[in-house]
Amino acid sequence: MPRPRPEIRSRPRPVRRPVGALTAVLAATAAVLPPDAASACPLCFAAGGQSTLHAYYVTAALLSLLPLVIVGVFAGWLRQRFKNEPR
Amino acid sequence: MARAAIQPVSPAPRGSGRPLSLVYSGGGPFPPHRRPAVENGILAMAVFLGTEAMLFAGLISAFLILRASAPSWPPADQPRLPVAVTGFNTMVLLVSAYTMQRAAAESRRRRRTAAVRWLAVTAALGASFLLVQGVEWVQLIQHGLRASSSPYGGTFYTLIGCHGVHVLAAVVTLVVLLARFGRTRRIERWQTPIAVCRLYWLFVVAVWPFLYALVYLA
Repeated sequence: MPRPRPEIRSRPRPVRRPVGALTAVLAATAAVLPPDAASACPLCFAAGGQSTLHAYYVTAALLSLLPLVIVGVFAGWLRQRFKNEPR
Repeated sequence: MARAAIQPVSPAPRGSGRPLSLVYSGGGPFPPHRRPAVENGILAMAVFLGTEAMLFAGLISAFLILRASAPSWPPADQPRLPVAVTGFNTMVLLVSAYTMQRAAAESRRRRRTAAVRWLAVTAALGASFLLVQGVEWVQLIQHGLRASSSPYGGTFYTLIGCHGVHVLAAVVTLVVLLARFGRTRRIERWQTPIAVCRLYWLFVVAVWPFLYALVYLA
């Protein structure tokens, strides 16, 4: 009968994480490089007026909400199909 | 109580109706094949239509912003769009949605002749919509409305042209479906393709009234 091998146990080494240094670097970077408005699109800085601003609001709402509506309709449709499926 | 044995099973051949699992832990025979609640083709088309809706939403957004930022819409030197003819064309497209619904219903009832007839009517209505659109475009180009002439022309041809390409794709798909479905004897095999075409066609029809109201009427 073979001898059982002795169980080897090792203590885990403590991992040194430079959390404090990383936080300090990130804070310094955020303080040195504040964000600024980026007017990349010609319409953003060339077009003025209330109607353009209104159109931006409408299209932002459309493009933000439409995916949620699509996913909601899709989930409801799937649920209905599974509900009607005979078991 | 003995546990059910885990038996390695060879992969099921394609079309056998058996589940595609390599290991079955039940110990007995395979359970009978269940038809999925949603066919793969219909599921894929539903996901595809979600992306298509976002495509049209992006184009409509660009149209709205360009229109809001323009000093006058339509520009004074550009021709006006034919509202009445396109309104009639809109009715044609809406009627084609009804005929497509009838075709799908007849295929579910396994009436091939009636389904083929309604599919042919749908394809003809779609083709006539495209024909009227084409004549309208030729006249607009002759009157000086080009994609490069102004943002008005550019957005018109992009938005309406994108929809026209979708209608063209739907008509071509219907013609191919008709050619193959008209010769088949296994009607039940064609129910899913017809249902997929129906989904796509209804989407194309549903988008058009929004575009018509936005581009032609507003």
